Amino acid sequence: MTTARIEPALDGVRGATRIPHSKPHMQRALLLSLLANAPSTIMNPAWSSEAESLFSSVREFGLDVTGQDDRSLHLSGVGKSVKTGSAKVSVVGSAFNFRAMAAVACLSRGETVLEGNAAMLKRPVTEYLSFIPELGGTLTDISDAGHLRTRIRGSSRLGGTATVDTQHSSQVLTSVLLIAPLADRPVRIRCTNAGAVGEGYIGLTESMMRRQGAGIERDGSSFVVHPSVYDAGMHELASDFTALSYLAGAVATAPRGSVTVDGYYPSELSSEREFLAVLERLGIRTAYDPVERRLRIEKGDPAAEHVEIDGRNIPTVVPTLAAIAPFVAARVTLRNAAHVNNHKCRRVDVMIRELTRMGCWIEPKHGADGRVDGFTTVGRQAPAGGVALESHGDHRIFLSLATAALGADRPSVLGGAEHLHASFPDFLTSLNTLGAGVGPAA
Amino acid sequence: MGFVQYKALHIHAAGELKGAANPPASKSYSARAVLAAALAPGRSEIDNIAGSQNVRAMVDSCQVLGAGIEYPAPDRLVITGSGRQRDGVTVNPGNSGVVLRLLMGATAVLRRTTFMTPFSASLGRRSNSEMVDALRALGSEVTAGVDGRLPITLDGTRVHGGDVSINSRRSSQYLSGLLFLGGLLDEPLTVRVPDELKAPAPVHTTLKVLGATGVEVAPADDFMSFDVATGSRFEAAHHRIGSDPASTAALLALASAVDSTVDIDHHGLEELDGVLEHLIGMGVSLDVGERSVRVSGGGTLRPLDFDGAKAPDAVLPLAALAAHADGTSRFHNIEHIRYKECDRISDFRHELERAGVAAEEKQDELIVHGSPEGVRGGVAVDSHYDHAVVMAMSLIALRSREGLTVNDPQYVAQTFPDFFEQLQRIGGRVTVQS
Repeated sequence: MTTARIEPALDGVRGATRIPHSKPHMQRALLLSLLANAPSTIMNPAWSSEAESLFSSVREFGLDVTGQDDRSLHLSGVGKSVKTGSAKVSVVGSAFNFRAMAAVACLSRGETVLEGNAAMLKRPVTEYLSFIPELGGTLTDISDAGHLRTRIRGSSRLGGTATVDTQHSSQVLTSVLLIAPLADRPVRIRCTNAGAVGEGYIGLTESMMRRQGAGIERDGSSFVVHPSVYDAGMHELASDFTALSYLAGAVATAPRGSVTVDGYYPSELSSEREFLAVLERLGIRTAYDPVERRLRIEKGDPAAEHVEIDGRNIPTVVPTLAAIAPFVAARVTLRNAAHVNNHKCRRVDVMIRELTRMGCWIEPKHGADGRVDGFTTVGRQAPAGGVALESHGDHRIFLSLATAALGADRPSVLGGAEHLHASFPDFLTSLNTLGAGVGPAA
Repeated sequence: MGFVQYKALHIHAAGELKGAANPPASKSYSARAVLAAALAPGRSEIDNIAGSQNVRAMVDSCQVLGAGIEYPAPDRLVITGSGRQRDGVTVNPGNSGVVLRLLMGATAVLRRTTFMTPFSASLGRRSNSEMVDALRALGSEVTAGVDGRLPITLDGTRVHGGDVSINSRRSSQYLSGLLFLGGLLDEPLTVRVPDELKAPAPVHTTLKVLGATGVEVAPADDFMSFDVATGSRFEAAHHRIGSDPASTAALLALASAVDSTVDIDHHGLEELDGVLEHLIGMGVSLDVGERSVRVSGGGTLRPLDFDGAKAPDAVLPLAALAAHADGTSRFHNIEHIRYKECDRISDFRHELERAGVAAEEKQDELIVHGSPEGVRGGVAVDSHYDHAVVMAMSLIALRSREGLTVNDPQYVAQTFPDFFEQLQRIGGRVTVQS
């Protein structure tokens, strides 16, 4: 485990830096590039282990790479002419990738075997694939003790109505939506839950599909997707607003702060807009210059003495908001975030526990079912710090706790820096650039 | 819709074609009308708007630049112009030269507009140096690849009017783009053509659209100089789009190639000067009505030369038809079609030869040696990203003995998205190649 030492940012944070681009945009751009029967370009590709795995899978289905450099990826898709022919497609380590590839396999009238590793056997990956038979395909579980394996065959009459469970995740819905325009008949999708988790990501899927020519109608939690064609795509990937949250967090927790993010591309994600509005209410102001592609983050005053936040649509930044909340000049309560405890670790519980160890006052809030669904803090805290914090193998916990540690009185050490590659590999360098004292623990 | 989802299609030899076909709306007129509407403050309406990918690229570009877009019906578009386009936008012109060149003119007044295309092997290889040089002369700061290739970034902070020259031998699209710019400047603009205007028909379309939206352009008698007066401003208007010349020419030629009785229903024939006369001259029987042309094909075809400057979009389908005439036909005055989605002389000749047609080329000419029995076929040809090549090679396939496989046929959708469905409807047979 790689451990970092985070010094208090006594002189504040100041300067300019960059952040990575968005993983959800990258995943959708790769899938749309495969499904477009035309060339596509992805500008600012956001590489992560998950994106590498997805890239490898879509290439097995026929996506051709026609050019590549640091800033751009030039691709040529196959439309409905997906390559299969009893091909075995390895899908490593990601439930989203497995589900998305299962959906793509439905487009082929041939047979595809998808194979995941042993770790995926422990996760409920295949139980959400009922859309395959509902749309006319066939699905056979041929797993053994060491591998998750499914055999999938499409249909020459692909289409009809699929019911998708959206209680815990929007991933299956996104996967079915993306392939639906290439079905032979209209695809109707009914979601099991009205206020689906990850609404922002569903909106992103819809918006990227429409932009590439898909005919898609939505009525609340129901969708109708008409047979249509994906045009060539020019994907200029948005910046990762969750990565931005840690720099905004640094501005919030340090005594003074003024940070510029260069090369910033805002997204159409409703969760990004919601997060920036929450920051504003917490007294962290952002101003964007679209010509210079520059976002400036400044510290101001909160909008109220008590700021209440709904975490339903902003799950990825809930840990950051927990890190920021004790330091702003307001009481902060965040609710409706029980689903955030279903991610890589029990993120709400872990943040409350670790921030408490750092010396913050932060209490859990419970929903009607008795589960933890948020937290509450009082403002202007000055936690002691000086402790060893644990990130539980979760990059978002590491990033959030590092952000909070900048505002403590004494240095903290934090394990798990090796997981930063999952979202913000250069985070510690960025903090140094901004004047914060971070480095490897002795 | 379905056929353009696949990477390869086989077009079978046809028996008899019968029925009615409807070419889509003109992409040339649609693209200009959409842009003019987006530049005019307020609400403009466009009837019979084309659904082709090139027009969608213009609609999407105008939307990212700030125009409001609504489709009350699939062929009716309402555009609400904001009066000021957005700065700092990245524009994707798809694979359309006309969308790119018109927008380069119309965004030359903005702060930092970037043009990028995913079609790096087609539009990405086309030169825009004439346009880049003219915009620089008008004060625009331009960053571009070698020979004015994409990606291109324009900064119009210091753009001004005045007197500018634009070489138009390779394309008239640059001239059209500058005339759109003229309607946005606070100073008068004079655009001169120092070499020659190879394709005047699209410029007439530009003047028609600009005139309908309040931008008055005064051309010189010789059509080599154009004045845009100060005070011209884009105004909201109602546009009705005629039929697409490339698609109409393709349908006319297809029906002429084999035994047929096909009615080509249209909304007005634009940019097709001399095409009907040429077909009649070849021996095709045409019954020309106000909104329909009945083609009775299958007779002997006489070889006949064609001046491509009159109707550049008709050259490929007429050349494909000439492949079945009893002798040699020359298509001249066509150098400018080398600078389209592909080199429509060399690349098309290559595909003709691959299919079994004897052809030669000169810099400004395509020479087709016809053979009334048609080719054997049974081979695969490539589209070169070009709708015109797809439609022309489909014609060769229809009169062949074994048909042709067309690789990457989906690019027909740049102009005519349901071309293969319409071909099937009148009796052609198209199957998906796995």
